[in-house]
Amino acid sequence: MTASLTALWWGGAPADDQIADAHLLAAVDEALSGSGAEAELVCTHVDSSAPAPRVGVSVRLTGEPADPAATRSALARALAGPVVAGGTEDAEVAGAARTALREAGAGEAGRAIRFPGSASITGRVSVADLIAATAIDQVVGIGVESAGTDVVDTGPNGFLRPRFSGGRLALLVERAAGGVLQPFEIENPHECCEGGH
Amino acid sequence: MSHDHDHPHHHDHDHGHSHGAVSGVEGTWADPQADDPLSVSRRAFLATTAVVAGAAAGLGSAVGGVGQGVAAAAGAGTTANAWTGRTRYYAGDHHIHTKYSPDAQYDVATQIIKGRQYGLDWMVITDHGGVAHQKLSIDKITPEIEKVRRQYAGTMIYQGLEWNIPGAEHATVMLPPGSATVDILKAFEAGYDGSALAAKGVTGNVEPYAIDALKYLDNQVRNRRTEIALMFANHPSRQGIDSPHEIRNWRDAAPQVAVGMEGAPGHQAAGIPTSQGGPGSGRGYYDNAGANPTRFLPYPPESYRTFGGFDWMTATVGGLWDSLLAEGKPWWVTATSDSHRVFRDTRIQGPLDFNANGTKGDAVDTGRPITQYGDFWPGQYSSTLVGSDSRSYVGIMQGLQAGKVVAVHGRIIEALDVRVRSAKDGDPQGATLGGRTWVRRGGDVTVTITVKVAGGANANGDVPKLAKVDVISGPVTGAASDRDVFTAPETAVVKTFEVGRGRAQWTFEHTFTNVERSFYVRLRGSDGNQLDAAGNPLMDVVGDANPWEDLWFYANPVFVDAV
Repeated sequence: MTASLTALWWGGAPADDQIADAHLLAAVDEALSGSGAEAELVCTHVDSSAPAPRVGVSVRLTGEPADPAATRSALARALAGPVVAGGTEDAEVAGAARTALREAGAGEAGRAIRFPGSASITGRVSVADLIAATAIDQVVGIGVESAGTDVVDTGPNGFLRPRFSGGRLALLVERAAGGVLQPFEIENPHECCEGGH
Repeated sequence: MSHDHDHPHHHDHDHGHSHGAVSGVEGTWADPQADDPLSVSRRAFLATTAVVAGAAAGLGSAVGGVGQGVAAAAGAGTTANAWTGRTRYYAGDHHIHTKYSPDAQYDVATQIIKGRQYGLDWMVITDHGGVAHQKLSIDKITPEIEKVRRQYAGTMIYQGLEWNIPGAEHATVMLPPGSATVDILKAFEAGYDGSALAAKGVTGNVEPYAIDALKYLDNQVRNRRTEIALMFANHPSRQGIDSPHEIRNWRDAAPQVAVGMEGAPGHQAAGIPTSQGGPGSGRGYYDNAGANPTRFLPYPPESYRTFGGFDWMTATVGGLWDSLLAEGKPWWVTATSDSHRVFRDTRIQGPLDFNANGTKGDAVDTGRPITQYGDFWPGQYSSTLVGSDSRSYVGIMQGLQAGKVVAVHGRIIEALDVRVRSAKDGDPQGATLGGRTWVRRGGDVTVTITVKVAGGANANGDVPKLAKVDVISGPVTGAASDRDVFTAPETAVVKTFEVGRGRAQWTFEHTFTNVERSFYVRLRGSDGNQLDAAGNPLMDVVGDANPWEDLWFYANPVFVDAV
């Protein structure tokens, strides 16, 4: 999937660097609610331009909101951080929001937490079907070659976090028990120390 | 082989090698005189000399100069960790939790009794650093450790800490018992633990705090408040947040303190598949995809997995570990249990609020095995064999500091004797693990490996069969200009020995002929069950990695100076 220059992209910088995917999506949807536009592609980004890296978020809208300024303000409030719109020269907003916008627009980086077709996938699905049904452009095996007929177990919630690289949205997969593949990023990786510190 | 620059190792520094051929590089690695109070001041003096030596060789920054200077102090024609054939190895574990960690549950005695049952001679108690631990847990665990020490006097039980390295992963910090040990640990944790700093509102780039922390420990040694202090980076690749430059900076800030990393993380039972009644997680709990925003972005996806149970930094031939060794930097690997809650144990955590009490309280027995736990008891699966001239707290730590260390899984070997020497063209006595020896350019260097294979069943009831031993080697090419480099392209497996059946002990020999460049050599061995076409370990499959079916050992390197 290549990013269209005419697409409506927004970049934001959530105040909470540890914000959970579900909370981020809820914040975006709430801000866009009633605006006439929806977030069809949402990615997280890492801005490493400062000594302490910051998380950014990019959002691709289905269309122009009825009141763009008000909706942008609502998103900024929801994220507790700045939001910058694509195609604007908003010099005031730099850092993570600008990085997210740049990376997403070029398709050079970004971890997609929602993307076209993502809601339609659950359980086991072939690589070919995954590519046909979603915005995922390619499935890349880590430590394994993957073919179109291979089956990816996305779990009961269809957890998929493909990443942009070189203008393409790629899902990394690896071997799993039972002769299937599984996404390299899983929904509930082990958290050490009770998730503390 | 050519040598493209003048290497500082070739300078013949005379630092007064008063104890001649005995093992140890003065003032740095396994100083045999470290029990002598005079040695502390001598250590400081030599460290200063080393800086001068590094600077004289025209090496970069002050930090880089320290690291290279220490290597230079070993000098041409000198030997460190001289081979004697009599070195005794002691099995241990430097990473063990108790109920004084918020995510663990056993009392000290339980862990020590289990470790003894599984053959360990030494253990380090390393509960997580943090505000409650610093304020409450240390005072509670100290008398418990002292009591268990009296009960099991034959076992060396160190009081340590699992330090949250500011800006990075966890690390073992260990000290020998001494009058100031608890005070040092408390002050260190209050001043430099990452979570304690965060609680004080210290944010942003906190990497410099890690450097200050290691210098603090080094100063405790210089000021004679402790004989020795060591730090090992734990599970270094788990989240991708131990960047190559941080590892180099730690090591160079305090080369006598920051001496290595877990070659293999603990939690080795975590990958046992659910179909075999296991937790079905990632081996070592290495199952994430690099989600931490502070991760080092150039690390590839596979760095977040173990390979044959070992961390990617160690398991990759020509990888991060080799990139340090190729600089001539001493940096050692170990294997630990990281034991918190043990696979199929029947107990659950005590009911207390950790933050209020500094402990979860006594574990509660449910009477049924809990299969979600991903850890082994100390010594049940992982052990770190340490060569030492004395069965003593300081002696074991000197062995760790000197790199006389072998990381072993599942009793794949019982003992290893390695001798690297140039009988005709250099030092005929040679050096053993972690050491340094020398050869005249154009001469031959022989590696003699004697390995004792398992003489009985391991803790799984299997008698493991060592299938092969790999000899891995690469040139020492000097300080890296890029401190974030994590490859050593010239390092390779240069020889593989197949191990037969029916003998308790095997001896192999490999000779490097016509040596023109300084190099290092290290060993690894495997049961041969899970290898790729090149004989390397496979990436462990999340949810399908029975550790008993994939056993490896890794031995630390010997450096050879071509003079």
